[in-house]
Amino acid sequence: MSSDWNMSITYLIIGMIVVTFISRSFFILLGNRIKISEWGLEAIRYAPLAALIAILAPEIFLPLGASSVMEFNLRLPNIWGGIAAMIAFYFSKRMIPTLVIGMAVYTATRFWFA
Amino acid sequence: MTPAQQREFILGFKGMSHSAVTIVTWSVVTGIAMAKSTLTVQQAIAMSLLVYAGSAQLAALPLIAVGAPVWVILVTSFMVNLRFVIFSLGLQAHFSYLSTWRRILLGYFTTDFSYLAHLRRFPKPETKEEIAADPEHLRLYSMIGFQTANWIAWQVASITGILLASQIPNDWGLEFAGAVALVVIIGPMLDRTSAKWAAVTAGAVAVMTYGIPYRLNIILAIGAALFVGMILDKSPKERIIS
Repeated sequence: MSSDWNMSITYLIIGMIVVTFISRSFFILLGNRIKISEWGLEAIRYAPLAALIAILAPEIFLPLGASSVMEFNLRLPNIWGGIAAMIAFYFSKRMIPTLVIGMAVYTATRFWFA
Repeated sequence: MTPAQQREFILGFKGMSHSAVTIVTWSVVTGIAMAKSTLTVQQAIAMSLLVYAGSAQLAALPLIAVGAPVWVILVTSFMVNLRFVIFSLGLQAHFSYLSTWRRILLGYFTTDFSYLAHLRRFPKPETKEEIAADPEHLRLYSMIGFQTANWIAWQVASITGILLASQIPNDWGLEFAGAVALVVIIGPMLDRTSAKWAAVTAGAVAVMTYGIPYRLNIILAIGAALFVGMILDKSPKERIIS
């Protein structure tokens, strides 16, 4: 790995530490000095979901290192592993079965399509 | 610590054991996903010890892998961490008497588990009279007990996961465990129709605009999903913080 890359990971980790501090102590620190609007609270409800899906959807539906949506194809093991995990979570609502089934289908399709 | 403070600390520390299995499972999976990402083992351990925010770490890994700019990853981490801003609102009245730096530290160590454990034990903040009658700040020591147990369990399991996974060949495909963990984090959030449509919007926009530079597709997808979620949301506004 290049030293440039390692440097940006260092900056990233420092930045993420700051993000943890800011988000976790936000109102403990600011107290009553800031009142959050209803609009703001509502945005806060949807933002984590939106961010997580925005990261996960391309992870599952596009190949690693894809440059655009044109590279979508049904021979990707992540699609089937991802769908299996979603179905497993829908029925089990638990981490371990979801993980086992998701990884099993991912691995099986990886060999199947290889 | 006075004997009473010590008692509260131990009570909190032991109280966390109810969540131990969940904490350890999450932590091992996060550790494995970090070790199988593009991070080195040292970087993964540093991230675990210092960032100490599992879902933000899991969310950052795919973005690091595709070389997203640092600022895009940081904005995304903050979005993922916004639930902690809500937690900090819930804790504010409980610990407003502390000095600034102690409030910052208390906030930093408050995870989902310790927040829920504290509010389960003390649903209401102390009144001024109660705080005055409690010079030992016993509730604070119970909270520090929760946080300490949580931190130790998380770090031991996370670093174990990192070290174990670094011994496993890359072609086993273990990095996919990070994506499955995200499925499990997202699942319970899809509890309302408006949330489901927001999720569909975020997914569709993120995939369709994947080709645009600097991974700005993430930012676009978040914006579009917020818009759709807030327009469709018909739930009574006063229930927001519950």
